[in-house]
Amino acid sequence: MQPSDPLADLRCRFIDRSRERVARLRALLDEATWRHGPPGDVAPGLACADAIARLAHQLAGAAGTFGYAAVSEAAAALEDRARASAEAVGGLDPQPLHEGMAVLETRMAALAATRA
Amino acid sequence: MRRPARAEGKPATSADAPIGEAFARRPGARAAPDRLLRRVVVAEDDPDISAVVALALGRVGGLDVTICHDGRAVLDLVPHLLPDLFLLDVMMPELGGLETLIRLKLEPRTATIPVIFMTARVRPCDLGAYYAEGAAGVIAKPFDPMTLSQHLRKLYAESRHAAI
Repeated sequence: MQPSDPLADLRCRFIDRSRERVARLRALLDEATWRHGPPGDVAPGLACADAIARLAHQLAGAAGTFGYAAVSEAAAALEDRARASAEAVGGLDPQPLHEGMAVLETRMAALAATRA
Repeated sequence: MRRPARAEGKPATSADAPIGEAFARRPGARAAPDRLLRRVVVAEDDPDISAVVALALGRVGGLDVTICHDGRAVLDLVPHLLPDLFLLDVMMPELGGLETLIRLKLEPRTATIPVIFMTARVRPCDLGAYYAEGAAGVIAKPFDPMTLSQHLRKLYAESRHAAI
């Protein structure tokens, strides 16, 4: 971060807020995994996948705007997986979402370490 | 010498009276085709991106910026403030960018104000839909905050030129 960076304050706020967003994504994913239970009743899990897709989309866009490409790409990949899950015939498959989430969490932690 | 604007000769109406400087023409005055971009109304629901846009257009770009958090807020605002340009996110709660554009185009006071989208959805089919509804331009997300105002001024100038 350069001392003259006009976005410096906004970057700090973005990182703090993004940690909360990633935690929220994790909570949604856990909920989706928990809810994807009985065959034939996929709606609750799909609603979570849709919420994950929307939140990941926001994070991808904002991270890209601040120039945090690694986080942006991971969030965009998670969004894609969530959309694919939400549209999958037979209901949600949480495994690809967990894989995408793990990548996002790792990259977010690396970004947050620059803030500390 | 510039060609006259298509709207030239159209007198300002009382509806133009209480609005911003760029539209505050004397009755009978003619629209200037090379009018500068000064006032922008932005609709963006993400607080981080809206903060960046406000800084990029205001502090960096020297524009007068009003931020709304969805399309509904834009429509609520326009009776009180008419900008030179609308900059709209596409995916927003309540009222998305495309629906907002359609309503702005139906309103006589806002029908000729350029609408530019900023969005990550820039596949050819998406772009076709934006332009088919009357968008004056599209700025792809993520954008560079340091050059956003220049990009917007360029699109604004092109839209003004196209209206001539």
